Amino acid sequence: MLFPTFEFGIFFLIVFVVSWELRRTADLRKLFLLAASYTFYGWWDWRFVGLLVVSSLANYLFGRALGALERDGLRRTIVGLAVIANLGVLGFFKYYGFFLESLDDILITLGLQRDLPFLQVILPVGVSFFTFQGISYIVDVYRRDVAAQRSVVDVCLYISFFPQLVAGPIVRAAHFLPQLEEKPTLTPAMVGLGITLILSGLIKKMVIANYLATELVDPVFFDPSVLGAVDLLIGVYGYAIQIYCDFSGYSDIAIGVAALLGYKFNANFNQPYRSASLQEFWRRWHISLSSWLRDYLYIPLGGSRKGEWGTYRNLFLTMFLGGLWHGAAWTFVFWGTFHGAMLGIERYVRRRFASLAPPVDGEPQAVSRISDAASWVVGVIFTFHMVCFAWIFFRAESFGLAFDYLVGFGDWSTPVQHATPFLALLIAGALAFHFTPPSLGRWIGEGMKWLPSPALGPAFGAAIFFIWAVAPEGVAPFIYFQF
Amino acid sequence: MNAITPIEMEGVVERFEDMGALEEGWATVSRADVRDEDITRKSVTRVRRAFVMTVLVLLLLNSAGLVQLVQGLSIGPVQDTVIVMSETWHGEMERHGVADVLSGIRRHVTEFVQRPWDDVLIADPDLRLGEVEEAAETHEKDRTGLLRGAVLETSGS
Repeated sequence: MLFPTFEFGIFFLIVFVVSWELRRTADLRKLFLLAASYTFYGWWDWRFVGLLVVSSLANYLFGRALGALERDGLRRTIVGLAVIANLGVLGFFKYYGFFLESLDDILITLGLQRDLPFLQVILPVGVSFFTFQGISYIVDVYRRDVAAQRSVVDVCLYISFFPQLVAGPIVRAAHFLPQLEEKPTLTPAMVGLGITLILSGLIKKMVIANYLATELVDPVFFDPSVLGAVDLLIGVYGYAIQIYCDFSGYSDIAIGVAALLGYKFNANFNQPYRSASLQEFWRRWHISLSSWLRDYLYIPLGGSRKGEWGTYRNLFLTMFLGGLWHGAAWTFVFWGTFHGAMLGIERYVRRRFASLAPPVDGEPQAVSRISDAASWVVGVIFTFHMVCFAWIFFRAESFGLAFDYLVGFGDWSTPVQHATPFLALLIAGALAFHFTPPSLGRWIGEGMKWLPSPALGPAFGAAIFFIWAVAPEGVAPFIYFQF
Repeated sequence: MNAITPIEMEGVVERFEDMGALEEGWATVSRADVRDEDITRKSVTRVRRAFVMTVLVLLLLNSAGLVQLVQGLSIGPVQDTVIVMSETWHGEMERHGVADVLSGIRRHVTEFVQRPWDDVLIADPDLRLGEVEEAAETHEKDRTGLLRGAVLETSGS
C-alpha cells in the first residue's frame, strides 16, 4: 500500500477513527495498531508478514534475555548473537545474490568456474529498516538506555508501526517505546503539523519527484551517451531534487500520519542542500540513518577517540557500510566509499587550515564577515556538486553508464532534448526552498492549529485534489522502498 | 538532532506546571491528565469532522478518481452496486460540469509542462527560435540589418 493512493486514504481513515475510539484501553489500541500495521505490510505480499513477526519475536526474546542477565560477558554474547541474527536476515535477503554473483565473477576471472547455489530471492519491502530498528532495540536494552519490554505487543508495534515500517524514518527504541507506555494524546499543534507534513509530502512526492522522474531523470539516465552536457547537468540536478523530494516526502507523510495517531517522530531531513560541507550534509540528510550509523557503528568502532588516522578509518568504514546498506551493487559501494573518503579529506583539510589560522577571539570585523559569507557560498556550491557527482553513481544502473554520463559533460554541442523550462523551474524552486527559514513548515502548522473543522476539512480536501490534478497520472513507487 | 521539538516541549511544560495538582474527589486523576483527555477528545472530534468534509470535497471534485478506484473491485453483488452508484455519481458530476474542473486543470498543466524554451526565451510567442535563425541567415545573405520587424516580415509571421 503506497501512501499517495486512495487505498491508503481509506485505510488511514479507518485506523484513525478506530484507534482513537480505543484510546481508553491502551492494550487494545496497541493490538489494533499492530494488526493495522501487518495489514499495511501484507498488502504487498502476505508471505513476508511471517518474516516480520519472526524478526520481532526474536528481538523481543533477545531483549528479555538481556534484561534478565547481569553478567557482562553473557550480555555481550547475547547482543552479539542478536546483531548477527538480524544482519543474517538482512544479508540473506538483500546480499545473497550480489555476493554470489561477485564470487562467480572472481572465479571466472581466475579460471576456477564452479556451479554456485544461485537462488531467486525476493527482497521483502523495508527489510533494511525493520532490521535496523530491531538492532536499535537490542543495543538500547544492552546499553540500558531502555528497559527490556515485558509486552511482546510493544516490541512488535515498535518494529512494525506502519508509518515508518517500509521506508523509515528509522525510529529509536529509546524514543518510541516510552511513548507506547504513555496515554496517547492529540494536541492542536500535532493536528496542524500532521496535516501540513502530509500535504508537503504529497507535493514533494506526487508533483516534484514524479515529474522529475518521468520527464527528465529516467530518460537521461537510460542512455546518457546520446545526450549533451546541458541535459546531463540538468539531469543530475534533477535527480538530486527527485531523490530528496521522494524520500523526504515519504518521511514527511510518515511523521504527519504518526502525529495524527498521537506519536512523535524526529525530523529526517533538514534542508540538506544548504550544507556548506559534507559533514553538515550528513547532519541534514536522512538524519535517522546517519545518527543510527553514528551511534551503533561509528562510535562502537572508536569514533574520534582512536587518534587522527583511526578517525579517518572509522569514517570511511561507516560510510562504506552505509553505501552497502543502500543496495547490493558496486555502484552503491562506490557512492558510500566516495562519501567516506571525501569526509576524511574534508576533516583533514579543515584541521590543517585551523592549525594554520586559528580562530581569533572577539567581534568579527567587516572583512572577516564578508569572507565568511563568501566561503559559505562557495562551500554550499562545492558541497552540492560533490553530492551530485556521487548521485550519478547512486542512480546509474552500472559503472559503464556512470562513466558515459561523466564523459558526456565534455559535449556542449548536442542540442537540449529533455530539460524543459518547467523542469528547470521545478529544480530551481526546490533548491530555493532549501534557503527558506527552517521553521517554515512549523509556522504553517501553527496557522492550521486552530482552524475549525469546517475550514480545515474542505481546505485539506481541496489541497489533495489540486495536488492530484497537477501531478502526472499514475503513482511511482518510492525510491527508498528498494532499500 | 535529538532536541526536544516545540510540540514535546509544550507537553512537558504543561505537565510540569500541573504536577501534583489533583482533581477534587476520590479519584487521583491529575488535572494534567484531565486536560490532556479533554484536548485529545476535542482534537479527535475536530479532525474526524474535517476528514468527513475532506472526503465530501474529494467525492465532489474527483468523481473520476472514485470510478477508477471502484473498477478495481472484485466481482460481487455489493461491488456491482458500488460501481453502478459511483458511475451514476460521476455522470451527475459531469452533467453539472464539476468533473470538468479536473480535466481543465490537467489541460493547463500539460500545456505548461510541454512549453519549450522558445516560448520562454522569446517574448513574442509567435516567433519561434528556428524561425529567428532562418530569418537571420536570410538577412545575412541579403546584407540587411537584423531588425526585429524585418525578421517578422521575412519569416512571414
